[in-house]
Amino acid sequence: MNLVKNLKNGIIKENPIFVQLLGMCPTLAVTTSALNGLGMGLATTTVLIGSNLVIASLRKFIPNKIRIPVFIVVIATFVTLIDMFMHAFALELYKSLGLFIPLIVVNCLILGRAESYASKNNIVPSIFDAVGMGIGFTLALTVLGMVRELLGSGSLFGATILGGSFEPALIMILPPGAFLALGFLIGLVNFISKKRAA
Amino acid sequence: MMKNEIVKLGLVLLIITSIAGGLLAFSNTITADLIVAAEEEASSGPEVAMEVVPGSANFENIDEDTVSVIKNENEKFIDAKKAVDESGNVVGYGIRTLSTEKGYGGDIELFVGISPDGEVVGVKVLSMLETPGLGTNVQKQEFKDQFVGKSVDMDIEVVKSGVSEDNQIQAVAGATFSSNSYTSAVNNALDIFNEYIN
Amino acid sequence: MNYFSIFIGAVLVNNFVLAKFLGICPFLGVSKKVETALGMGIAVTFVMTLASIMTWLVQVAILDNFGLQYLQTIAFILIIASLVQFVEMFLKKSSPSLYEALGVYLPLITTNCAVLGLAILNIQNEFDLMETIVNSLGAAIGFTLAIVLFAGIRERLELADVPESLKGFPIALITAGLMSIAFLGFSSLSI
Repeated sequence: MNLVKNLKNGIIKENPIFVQLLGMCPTLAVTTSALNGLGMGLATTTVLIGSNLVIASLRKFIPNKIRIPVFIVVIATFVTLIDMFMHAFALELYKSLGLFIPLIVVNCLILGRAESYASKNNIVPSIFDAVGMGIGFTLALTVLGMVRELLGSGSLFGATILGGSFEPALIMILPPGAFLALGFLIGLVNFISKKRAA
Repeated sequence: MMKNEIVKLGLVLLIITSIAGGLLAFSNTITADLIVAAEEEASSGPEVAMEVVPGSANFENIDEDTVSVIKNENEKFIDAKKAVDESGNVVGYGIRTLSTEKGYGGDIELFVGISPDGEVVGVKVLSMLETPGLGTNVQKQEFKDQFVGKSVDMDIEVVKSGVSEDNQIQAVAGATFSSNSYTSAVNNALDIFNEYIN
Repeated sequence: MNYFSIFIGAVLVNNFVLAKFLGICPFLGVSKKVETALGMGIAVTFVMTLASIMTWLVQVAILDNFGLQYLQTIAFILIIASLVQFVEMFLKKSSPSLYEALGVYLPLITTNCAVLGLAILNIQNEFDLMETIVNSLGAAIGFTLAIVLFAGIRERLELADVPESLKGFPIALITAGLMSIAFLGFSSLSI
């Protein structure tokens, strides 16, 4: 039961983006299309699961004083692995995410989960925590990517949806569109959760 | 007491970083060749050949000496290949080059297909960092197709509107800079063809 | 490329925060007051420039020399983390007043993706050491400019009547979006 709660926690109650506002840089930068958002979300989730798994299993051996450097080494290792494998097997996605793949290292979400969850809990709950947070992150990125792609290019996952007389609002796939779309989406989430509470 | 602790912390950190380093070295040896192959496939594989030189099935290397001579004398040049059909007949040449004039996002990288009798038969963008939705429109069919049929003897010129001469092409609306940069790469390919390959 | 165009390009055209989305966390987190925003900006400028020089040297002297480019991410983040620690200790000892002013921002900088991002970009652009320094200063000043301007707007926003659901982060993001539109105008600077 508790494990399911872990999952739900990450996806809804403590959604990394809409509620905790963590990992903003990749969120804004790569969501020019739904597919990019999804790809970034999955890459981050993989790193998060890996680092939570390793840190939770090593937590008794890591001296408290050097825990942060150790966490960083573990996370950076997983990021480099993802970087290599994406370069070899998903070249196109690799190129469109570019700089933001190595920058997964400094996504505060991952270090945050290592410090506040994985270093204090057993392996299984830590993995569920990572999966929940990862799905929450991926979901938010994909939704943001979908909104921006639909308004900015008139398509979804590359397939044209709004053709014909629809004139794409270019601004949505340029940098300002990222800020505006995320601002209004978080506003919408706030609005819905306030309505629910009332 | 203090000294002992520092040594112990240093050792733990050393062990963890060595494991990480070893793991990365190992996966680097696995992925290195795959990455080279994937890059090669994406930049000069059969799909690119078919698009750049219609009627061809694949690219083949031309002799290495010519390539290295061009590289020495033309700093924007990247590679040259001959395009062959299924039975191995040469049906054209592909020249891979950067633009000689910068666009908004630096150089544009193109593969330019030229038939043996010296006409442009196709152009493909390999990489660019132009403004999405404006500069990236140079990838659109209407713009690209203007180059098809241009002879290698011409110096292609970009005009904003009203194409009147044979060697002129019309710039993409709102993206004169990108159009100029794109055209400079095509012109560079034509020069290379004239000087070294024809 | 001359130094001037690298510098202006880094400050205005490719503004780290508003065009490249690097360093968004401190941009949103430490921008409620102009004073703290300025403190953060100065701390980031200091660390960014130092970190870029260090990582450039390590890349050229060690990673490229021994074919260890695949260790770039892990090496750079460790350099940045230890550099931040070192700067913190150094300031504490040598200049307590400066430490007092910047100390609280320093730990936050390790996970500031602008620092790591800049270090990697310098290598990708194949800058030499001088170009690296100029580019880093430009990027850092661009960051400071954006965060201070943003804090100025947010101070005023406190007094505005904002719809309930948009209060706080949403309106801050929308404001940043409008600033980003303004900075988009610089992209037609041809330098």
